[in-house]
Amino acid sequence: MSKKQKIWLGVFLAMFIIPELLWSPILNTLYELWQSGNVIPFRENFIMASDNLLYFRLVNFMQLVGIVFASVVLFKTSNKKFISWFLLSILILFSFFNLVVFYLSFAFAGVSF
Amino acid sequence: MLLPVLVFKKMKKFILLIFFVFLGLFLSSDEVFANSPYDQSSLDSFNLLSQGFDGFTLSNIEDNFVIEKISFRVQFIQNVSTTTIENQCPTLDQSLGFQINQGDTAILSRFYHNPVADSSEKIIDFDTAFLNITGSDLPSLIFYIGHSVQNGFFCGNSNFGAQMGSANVTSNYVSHWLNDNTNTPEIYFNGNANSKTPVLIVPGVLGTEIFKGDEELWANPKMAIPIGDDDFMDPMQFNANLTPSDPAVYFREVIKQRPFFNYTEDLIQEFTSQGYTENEDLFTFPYDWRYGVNQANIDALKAKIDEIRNGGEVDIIAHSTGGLLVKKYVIDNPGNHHLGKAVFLGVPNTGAPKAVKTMLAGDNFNVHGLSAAEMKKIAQNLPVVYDLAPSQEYFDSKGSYFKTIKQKFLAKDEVKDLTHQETLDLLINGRGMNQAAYNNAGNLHTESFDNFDLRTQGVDLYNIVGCKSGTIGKVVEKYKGQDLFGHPILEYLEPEETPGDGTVPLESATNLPVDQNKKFYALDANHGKMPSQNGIRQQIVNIIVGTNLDTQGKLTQDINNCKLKGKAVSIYSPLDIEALDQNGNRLGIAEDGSLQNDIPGADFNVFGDHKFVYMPEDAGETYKINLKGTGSGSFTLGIKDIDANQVTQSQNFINLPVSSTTLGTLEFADNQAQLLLDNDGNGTVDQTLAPTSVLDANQSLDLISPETTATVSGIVGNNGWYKSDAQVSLTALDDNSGMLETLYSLDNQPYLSYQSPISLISEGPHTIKYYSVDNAGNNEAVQILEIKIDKQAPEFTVWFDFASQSFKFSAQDNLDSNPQINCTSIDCQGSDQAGNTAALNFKQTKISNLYSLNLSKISYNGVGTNFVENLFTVGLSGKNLQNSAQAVLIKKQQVAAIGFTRDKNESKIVELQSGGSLKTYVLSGLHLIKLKTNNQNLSAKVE
Repeated sequence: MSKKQKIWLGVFLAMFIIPELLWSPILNTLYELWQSGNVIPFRENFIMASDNLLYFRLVNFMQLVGIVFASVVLFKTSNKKFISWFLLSILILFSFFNLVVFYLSFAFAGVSF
Repeated sequence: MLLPVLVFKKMKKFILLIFFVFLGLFLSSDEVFANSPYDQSSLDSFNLLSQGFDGFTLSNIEDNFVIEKISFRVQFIQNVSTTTIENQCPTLDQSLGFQINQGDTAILSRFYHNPVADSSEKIIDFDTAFLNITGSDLPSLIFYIGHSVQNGFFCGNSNFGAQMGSANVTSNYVSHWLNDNTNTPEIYFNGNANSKTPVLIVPGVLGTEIFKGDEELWANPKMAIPIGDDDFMDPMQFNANLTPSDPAVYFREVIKQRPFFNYTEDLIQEFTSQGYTENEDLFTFPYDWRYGVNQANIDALKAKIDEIRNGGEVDIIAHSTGGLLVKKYVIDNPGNHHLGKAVFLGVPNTGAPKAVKTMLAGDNFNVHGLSAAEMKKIAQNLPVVYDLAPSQEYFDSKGSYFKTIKQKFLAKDEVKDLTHQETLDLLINGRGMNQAAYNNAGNLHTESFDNFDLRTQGVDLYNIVGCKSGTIGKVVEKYKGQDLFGHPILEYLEPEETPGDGTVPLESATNLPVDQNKKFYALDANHGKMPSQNGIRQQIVNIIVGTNLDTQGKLTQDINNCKLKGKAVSIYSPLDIEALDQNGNRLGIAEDGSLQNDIPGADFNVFGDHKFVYMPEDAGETYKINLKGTGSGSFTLGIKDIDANQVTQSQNFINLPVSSTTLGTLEFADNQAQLLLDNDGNGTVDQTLAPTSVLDANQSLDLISPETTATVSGIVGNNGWYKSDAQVSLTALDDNSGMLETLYSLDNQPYLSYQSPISLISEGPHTIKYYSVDNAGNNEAVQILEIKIDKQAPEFTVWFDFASQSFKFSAQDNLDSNPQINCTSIDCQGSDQAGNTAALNFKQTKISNLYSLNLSKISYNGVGTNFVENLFTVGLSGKNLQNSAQAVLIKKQQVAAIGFTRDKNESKIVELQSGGSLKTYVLSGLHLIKLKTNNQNLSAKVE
């Protein structure tokens, strides 16, 4: 992996990790899905407030871009060693979680009855 | 043992990364980012009573009110140098204190002296149970707060209250012991909670969790999974006799929060921030909403109110169906309802047409992945849906909520706005809705119920209604006949939009007698989210608690702000629509086919292939509208401009071709629509189209299809046949918007625009399909015209019959398999089904065993022609005349002869070839020569 590739990998990973560190949008949502009935977020913060759904989607989309492109960079530079595949698997798993959360932020947010 | 070490070495960086991620997660708890350096948990059991410099009043104090502890959260400032303060208070120290008055009499005062050297933010507790007030004659306690100087409360003024009442002095003093003027002291107290009137939240339909066993049926987030038909919710259904299909189904809690859906949680939090505590002075009322307003739910509400009221009154917040329940409860408990304030939120006092729409076509309630068909199935026998359907009062005050368009064959469509009773008759008898449920709903929604004035029962009533979101005001159904099984073929057209909250029309929500100053209109209301919606929840708290929270301009008390202004877009086609507003909110079909509507105030309905969108424009909203083909065919797209609830203009793109690769964008320049089409989806715009028609307000309301009349000219024969070429003329008329075009298809060929009469020349049956389209995009039902043309009369065949020893005649027709023939000794008359006639004249002679026939003339439909010289001769010989000779001579054309010998049982045949030579051959058995007429000619054939 060249220095340039490492920088890109770092940037993309940061796009995913920093919002997660600050507000945990994905962890919060998955934690809520884990619960039955009324839910409580893992961490209350402004981005989980219903009034701030647009910010949530924006941040979550940035995370999605970050994790997907990090996976792509890692895949393209993979030396086919166990560690590379292992890391890639983790990133793909996170990408899946991210995608699910992003979908739900649209799927459930418009509820009106 | 080596493996973990190896793995660690190989994965060192990754493991460290993960470690730091999780470390970060734990370290980044909100406290890290908060400003408070102290442990807030010490205040957890306290209620925040006031935040600011002013004093406050505790009202509604009941007997045995006890203040156990009062806490101030403050920060003193070190080294303050304020001339004003020093002038007024030359020997400052830093203290704070409070004084409690009962009326004008101070009954308690305390202060705290702060060491000058200590400037940290801190909590100061007065933690002795120092005040116990008894007696029932204590209307209120007045708290004053301030800082003190010189071991006393006040600087230059011994009256604490007067001191606090002076803004200038207060400001100076505050700056003395707070960091700055933006930080305010916070005062908490831990005392008897009886000081608050209990608040009860009564949710609406779908607002309470429904379970079976441990499985949540409603509102389980798995309904958003775009796979499957959501039949896990089937147990929620009711039987036709209005009993639950599954008795094991039960309800649990009021829905507070689901991922990305906040129903009551934010409202509860808003109350909590005002010192309310759930299950102490803030309660929710879960109930089985499927039953609607029935006695069990009313009894349960009464029991709940009795349980929480502590001998006093209860303030109630009722959303949607919950409002109907509360109203019925008050009616059933006159003078004994124990309600203080009641805040109604989007209550469908006279019903909502969306309930009818849900019964007829289902609804996914804007949840992606939720099957509308499943909700339709559940709605069929659910009592609450019928309780929410429009009532007689709705019809009386707002008019019809159901329009039918009955398409008639070769006649003008019949359009009718149904009365309430006609709608019921149609829904029950024609659409299979539940009669018993409708009867119950009718018994509930009496005139007195729908117009009941809760104020007459002492309820302090407030009404918050959504008023500016597009809402279904009228369902429009087109009846197109019946299928083979007798089921109606129905199509649902663009519903008429009316102001409301997206579900409940404004007229229904405001059909509630209430003081004008207690009526609030929510401008961006979303019915299902109203309790926690930003602006609305603050208004609710302001009403109940008396606070002055910022409602952020989302409510008004001027109904003039409620009129709809926007665009209504209708699409009739295999075409999906996506609208994005200037904030990135989306409305459209999701990948899984479900509906998404995140645009405030917008409305989105889908009936089959038809999509209907309302987008508000009154606040300068702008939209980007994208289109995507989902199949092949044609589409019609209409855009109506709505202003003050009235359609002012419409622009229509009519019957444009679409395929699954079609992409499009709708743009507006000076309100003129322009459609950019990318037919092959390659990203390049292939067509830029102006509207096919632009209509005024009246023409835009045209819902009636044009009517086309076909006229056929030609010679009419028998049995619907034409004996000549035919011409078909199509004439179309429209009663309002005017004709756009007439289209026809001849014999299942592609449709063409009708320009001039259609000529039919070829014989045989023809099918012409045709319909007309008006400028409003109304397509007439396809009409079918069958035209049969038979221009040719029958022809004749003659042969010799050896059994009867005579010539025989038959008739043949190119289109009639069984033409009529009637012969005498000198002629034959033939006719076909179309009435074409043919007459054959001949002369036959018999001399001994020699028979001869000469055909002289043939006439078709009365026009005759003589044949060329011809002779058909047959001679018989031998024992029993078993041998024979047949010969046909047609002058200059054909000679044929057959000699048959019985002994050999063979026929020797001689034919004149076209080159003049003779062809001779032998066939076994007896063969015949047949002489045929063919369009005035003769020919002979050996068979």
